[in-house]
Amino acid sequence: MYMFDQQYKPETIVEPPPEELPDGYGEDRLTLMVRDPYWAFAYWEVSGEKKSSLRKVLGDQFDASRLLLRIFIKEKNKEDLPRLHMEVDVTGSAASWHLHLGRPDSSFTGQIGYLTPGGEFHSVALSNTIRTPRDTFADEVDSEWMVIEETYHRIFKMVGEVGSSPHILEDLRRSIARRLEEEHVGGSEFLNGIHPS
Amino acid sequence: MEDCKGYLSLVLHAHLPYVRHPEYTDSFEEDWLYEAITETYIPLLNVFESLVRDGIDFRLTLSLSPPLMEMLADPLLQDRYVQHLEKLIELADKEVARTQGQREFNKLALMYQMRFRKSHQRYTGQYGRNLVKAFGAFQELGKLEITTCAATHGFLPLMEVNREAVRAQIRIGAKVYEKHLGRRPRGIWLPECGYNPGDDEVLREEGIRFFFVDTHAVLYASPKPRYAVYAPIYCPSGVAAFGRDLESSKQVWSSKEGYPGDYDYREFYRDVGYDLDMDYIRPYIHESGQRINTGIKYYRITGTGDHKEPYVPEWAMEKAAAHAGNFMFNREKQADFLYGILGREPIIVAPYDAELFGHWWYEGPAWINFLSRKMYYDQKKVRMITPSEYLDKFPQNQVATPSLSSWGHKGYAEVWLNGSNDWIYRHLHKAAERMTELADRFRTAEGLRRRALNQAARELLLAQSSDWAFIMKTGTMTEYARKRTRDHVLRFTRLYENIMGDALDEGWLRDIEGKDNFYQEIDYRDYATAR
Repeated sequence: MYMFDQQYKPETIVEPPPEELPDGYGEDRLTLMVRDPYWAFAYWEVSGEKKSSLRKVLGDQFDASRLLLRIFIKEKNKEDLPRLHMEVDVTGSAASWHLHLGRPDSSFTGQIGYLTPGGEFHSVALSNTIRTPRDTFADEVDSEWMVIEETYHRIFKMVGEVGSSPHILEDLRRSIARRLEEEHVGGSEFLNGIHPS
Repeated sequence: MEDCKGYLSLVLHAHLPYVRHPEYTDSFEEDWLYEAITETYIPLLNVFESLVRDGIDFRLTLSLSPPLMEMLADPLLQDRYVQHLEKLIELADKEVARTQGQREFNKLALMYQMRFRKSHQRYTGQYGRNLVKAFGAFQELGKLEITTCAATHGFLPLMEVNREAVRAQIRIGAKVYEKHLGRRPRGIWLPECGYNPGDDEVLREEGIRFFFVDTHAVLYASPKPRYAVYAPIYCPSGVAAFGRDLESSKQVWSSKEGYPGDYDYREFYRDVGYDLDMDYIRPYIHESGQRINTGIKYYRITGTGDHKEPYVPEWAMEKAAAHAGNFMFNREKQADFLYGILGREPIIVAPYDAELFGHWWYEGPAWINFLSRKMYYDQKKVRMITPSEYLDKFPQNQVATPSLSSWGHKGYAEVWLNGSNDWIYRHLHKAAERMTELADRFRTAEGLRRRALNQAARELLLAQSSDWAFIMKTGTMTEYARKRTRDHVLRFTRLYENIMGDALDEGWLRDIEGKDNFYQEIDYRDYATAR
């Protein structure tokens, strides 16, 4: 894909040691990012201020508290409140986490907070809302533009993507998933395929 | 009389990250640009020229990313390229002398000598050192449709939390295009085909009519698309999404079945920069003595092992012609078949990275040349077309929202969001937030403060290049990518603090304006919250 050939080595940079990026920006924050139909990434920060104020309120209990990341799923077509989907104990971690949500085409929000030994939850931050993409064909069809499954079958059979099973779309979906896993698109990865070393 | 049964849209996406190091005399990373010019961009221009000269009506869509356009038009890089090419010519001259007694190699040395000399003539003469304008001329002739790309090739789905930053990437991408080509872009290549539902609204605001996505984005669109991936779908905003065709992709891209792996094609990994004696090759590799590719390669792929035979250009050209014929034949069959079932002329969208043609696959440009000629002369069933032309012919299309997706490995965002690079996002998001904060707060800045605000926008854009995350993932030049991310974020942060604290350091500002000079005409107000 790019010019970044395997054989290039990094150049020697003769400069004073670079400043490092900060660990955080002094805020209470939780951000969720969609990675694919099943996975999301969360990063957060608990400000020094917040920690101080909690320590004042909770005393010793604060140091014994667990930092929890809670993910809520928003059900489609419901006015109900989001319900808890998963909870991860992220105490002592590097302020980020890859989350296996396992639910395509769904909306999620997150919350991070401390759970005291006594069972009290002190919220630190709420996240943005994310939506995982579909991993299969939409259920919705358009009456004006009717999809004839037979059409799909014939098109993709030609490309060798589906067999003769009656579950055409499922076959195709599996084939797409397989292709996405296997096939690399791009320059040096591409050449590695031609010249396995 | 054969009827037209379908259309082929060949799309080449040309992009390099903004790399310009006036502070170094010899930069590995600047070489990316010089290699791409020598091996891809000039050869493609040569092909277009020969097609036009011979009266062949062809169509190709070329996406030029703003960083690439800016670099191609940058006087320092243009000068350095000429020097680079002159060194290459000097090397080729030496090679001709060195291979005197070896007929097979001497023939090739002469071939390179001639190519480099011709390229030099064209580059400095006919093209006046400006390849963007050279490509633009073919758009004016109606043969090429040139699309823009996001300002610094930022991966938009991972920028979702900063809507103003997404808008700025698109808006500035359109402005840079207009600066270099004198007209507004009709289409855009989203970086990595990274589509996030809703981003099309931003495209609409900029007057952009279409973009490209990977196959599954269209197949998984809601509602289900009637024509699968063989017609564009309109997002609710009215912007059209063209989905990639699987079959034509495989024939070129597949490392197992694709054309570029043919044994008669030139072997990429046998370059004189690595093969020849250090004393001899020293002046032509990196000044530190680190060996690099020169572009002079004498061997063909030959087989799967390490043993390589000398390259035979005539055989390679025969293969390129045969592969072009094969590609065309398959497209004819495909169009016939699809027309029969769909009841409408399909569009077969075949996008590739431009650098595949000529750099990775040496015979790629020749293949395009053969393909265009064969399609023009040998059949009428499939015509080459641009997306705009297809939309003009078929303005009625289904409304459906493509799914969030990319054309990267695994089809979503994992390439740019994994253990190697996930750490960058808290910094990129914070900087983007702060940029909007600055733009909102200082709506009418002048003088030094305005310069600082504009430079802050530049630093943010440069930090957002998806290339850095990509390099971190592939592990090729990770130190460089990390340094770029760090440098731009830290420069941004310092500018932010200086501006907010009203303590601007003109000397330092001038220094980074000189280093990170992407898009002189930038306007920081593109980051303001939309009213």
